[in-house]
Order: sequence, then C-alpha cells, then structure tokens
Amino acid sequence: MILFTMWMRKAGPTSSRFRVDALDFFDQVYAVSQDAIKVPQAVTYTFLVATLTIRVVFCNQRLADQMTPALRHLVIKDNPAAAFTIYAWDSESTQTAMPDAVWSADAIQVQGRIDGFDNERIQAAFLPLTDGFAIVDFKRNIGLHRVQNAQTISIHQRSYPFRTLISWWAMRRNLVFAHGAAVGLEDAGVLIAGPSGSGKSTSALACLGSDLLYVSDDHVLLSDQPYAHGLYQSAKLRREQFDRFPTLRAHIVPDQPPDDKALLFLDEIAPGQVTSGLPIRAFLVPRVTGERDTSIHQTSCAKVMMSLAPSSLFLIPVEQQVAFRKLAEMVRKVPSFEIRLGTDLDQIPEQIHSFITGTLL
Amino acid sequence: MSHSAIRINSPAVVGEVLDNEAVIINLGTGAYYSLNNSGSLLWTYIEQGTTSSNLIAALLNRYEVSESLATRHVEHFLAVLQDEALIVNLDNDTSNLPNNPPVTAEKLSFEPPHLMKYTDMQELILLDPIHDVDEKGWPHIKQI
Repeated sequence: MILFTMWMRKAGPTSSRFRVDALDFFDQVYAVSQDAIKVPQAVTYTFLVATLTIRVVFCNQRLADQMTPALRHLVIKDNPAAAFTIYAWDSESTQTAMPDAVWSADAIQVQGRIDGFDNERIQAAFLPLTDGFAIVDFKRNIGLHRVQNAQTISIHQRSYPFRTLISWWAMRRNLVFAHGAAVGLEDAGVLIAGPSGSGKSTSALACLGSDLLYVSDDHVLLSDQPYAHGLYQSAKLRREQFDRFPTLRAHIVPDQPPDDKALLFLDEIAPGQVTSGLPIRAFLVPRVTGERDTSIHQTSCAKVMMSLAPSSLFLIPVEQQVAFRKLAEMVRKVPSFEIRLGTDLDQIPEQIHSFITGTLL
Repeated sequence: MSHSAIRINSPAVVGEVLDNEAVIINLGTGAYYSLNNSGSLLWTYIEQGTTSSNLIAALLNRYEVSESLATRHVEHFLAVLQDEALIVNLDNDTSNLPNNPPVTAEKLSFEPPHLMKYTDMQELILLDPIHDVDEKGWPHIKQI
C-alpha cells in the first residue's frame, strides 16, 4: 500500500496533517466504474495508438458515440491483449456516485493536478475545460475516466478524448505528448510546432487535398527518433477560419454544443490522406507574415523549443521535467526551420513538399 | 558579493541550452524565458551549481569585458533570475562546485546577459479545472 502525505490547509492558526492513500482512492473509483459499466449496455473499442493497444470500455453506446469518432482511424477489429485499458462512464446515466474526495478544496493545483496524486504508481487530475476526472494505475495499466453527463460532453472532449490518460500512460513508454501538427511524405515528415494561434493548424489544414500525408493538425505523440504518432483525426476551427477553408464548412459535425470552435473529422474530408504516423526529419516554427508567399528558412533549435515546449507542457498535466528534457533531446536530433506563412494557402503544401524533396530527402 | 551556492530552482524550473541559447520554463507560474549567448553561458554554470565569483570568471574568460563591468552585470543578472524565482541561493559549502571556467583563446565582444520573458502560456495553467461542479456533481470534499 502506497501512502502519501499531504498537508491540509484549514482556516485557523494551525494545519492538521493527514494521509492520502492514492491507491485506496483508485480502488474506490475503480469499484464505481465497475458498478457503472455493465453488460448489456457496456461497449468496447480497441485502438492502436503508436503501436500500443488501448482498449476502452464505455458504460453505454451514447458515451462511446461521443468519445470515439476522433480515434476511429485507429480502431482495430481483432481483439489482441490490451496494453492499457480505460473504463469510461458518466455519473448521470449510470446513477453512480463518486466517493468522497479525500483532499481539501485547495489541494487542486494548476492543470487540475491534485496534491498527493502524482507519484510513480497513481496519477489523477481534474480535466480543465471539461467536467472530466481521470486517474491511472500504472502498475495495473488501468485508466478511469469519469464525466458527469454524457449528453453534455464538450467539443473539447469529443476532439481529444482521453488525452490526459493516454498522454500519462504513453509517457511511461517513452512517448511524449507534443503540441504540433505533422504532415509529410512517407519517409520524411515535418513537425510544425506551436501554440494555438501560431498558424500551425492552418498550415496542416492547407495540406488537405495535397500530395502530403497528414498525421495531425494539433497533437502528436513523439518517440525518440523522433517519430510523430497520430492521435486524433479531429480538427477544431474557429468560425472565422472557415473563410479560409470554405469547403470544410460542409463537414462540420452536426449537433454540436455551443462553442467558439466547430468540430470536423478528417477521415470524412480527406479519406486516405490521414496516416498513423511519420518519421520527423525537421521541425518547423510557423510565423504568420501577412505577405502573399510562403517560404522556409533555417532557424535555431532554441526557437523550435520555445515554440514547442511551453504549450506542450502546459496543455496536459504530464511529468513536465521529463517531458521537457525529452523534447529537447528530439529537437537537437533534426534540423530546425521557420515556415513564413503567406496568405496564398495553396503555397503552403507546395513549399513543404519542395522542402522535403529538395532539402530533407 | 555573495559566496553562497547558486542553483536552479528545481523542480519548479526547467531549462535546456540549445545551440548556446537557453530556454527556461517556470512550471509554477507558466512564464517561460530565453537567454542570449552570455546569459546562456552563465546558465550552464548555474545548472551545475555555482557561485557568483565563478560566473564573473566565466564572463572574464570568454568575453572582452572588465572585471568591474562583469561583476555589475552578474549581480544584476542574478537579481533578475531571483526575482523570477528561477534560481535559489543556498548557504551550502561551495567547495565541491565545479569552477575555473575555461579561458577562450580568442575572446568575444561582450554582450550583457539578458533574460527575455514570455507570459502567453500563463492563461493555460490558470484555467479553473472544476468550474462546472455543482452540489449534485463532484467532488464532495470529505470533512476531516
């Protein structure tokens, strides 16, 4: 039994000390999950994420319908042994109650981390921008994902289902979550690294319909070489972005809850272009210029790291020290460039294609 | 001039020097930073644990700079790093710290160490993770 000590800060002149048993709490939540997820309503999907098999058992089809489309390009039909199993349920439809929290209100830290639940075996967090809670036991390779109500799943959760659980677990297998878009040719891809609003997603979406393969416009898991493994085939566009990509408007997923972004699934837009991963031969830092033309120029590793690391580390409550070091190792391995993005979007895939064939291959 | 040991404020702060340019993140505040060449040189010593005297020697051995100017800039630089909670001063024994920065054969023209700060990520860590929880939802905090 792993015991962790935390300090509970109460109003008053003294603090009282108590122990949080993270494993015991996991077991309590696991019992709730098994109460919530029962045949005949339960449904199971198996996904191949970065060569690893992840099985997700949902409490019912309604929740699965919300949470699986972004991952459906990774679905595998046969039934191999799962390396990681996630149990997902909502409290409303299953009429289940979560155990009392064993932490004080001020134990909730930035990014939803919880004091006492960040250790070798157990990690847990509330998931910002959602009503989700995730907890993982790395020894048993089980993740638990609870939401309050399956009918009010946010666009964010539908776009990036199980992002925190998968990132935590992948990190233990030397796969680092990166906030970047990956496109390219079979033997040479580029990772366009940058936070929201940097031009990263626009660059990737401009490649739809081109000769380039498409891994992701937003999130990848990076392995050492580096190799970018795709995770989600979703894209979220702000309403004004459809002015640049008017043909995508017809593909907005219907019945979306109110949000400033609209959700799309790329297998409906560019079937055959979405691929599960690419070797990364260069990092690109996007810069919107306002000029007409797009061009690619050398830059420093530090510029890539500045563009890649902060948003990758702050998006998900991963083991940040380890993730930072690994990202730096990968950035050092391949050359760094800046892509100066012009307003003529057709040039973006053309320039990336020429860059790959002329410089990287 | 303090002779206490200076170290990175770990684990809250992470940093890497890539191509003579340091990238630093304060994981607690969400602020991130870059350093120019001379600042990055000093950071490589801070990473190993150092003293201000050693940092002054590092500048003197690498750059065309007087001792008084190097001292002034190191003091200012350390004060800035301290204000940003990127380093800590420890009253430890400094005898085991690496010292004697190498002398560059041909010294470079001096550019004062400079820290650039970026705060555009801070909103990401300030998101309220449980803003939608109501009485019926969760968590129920157990009264202890």
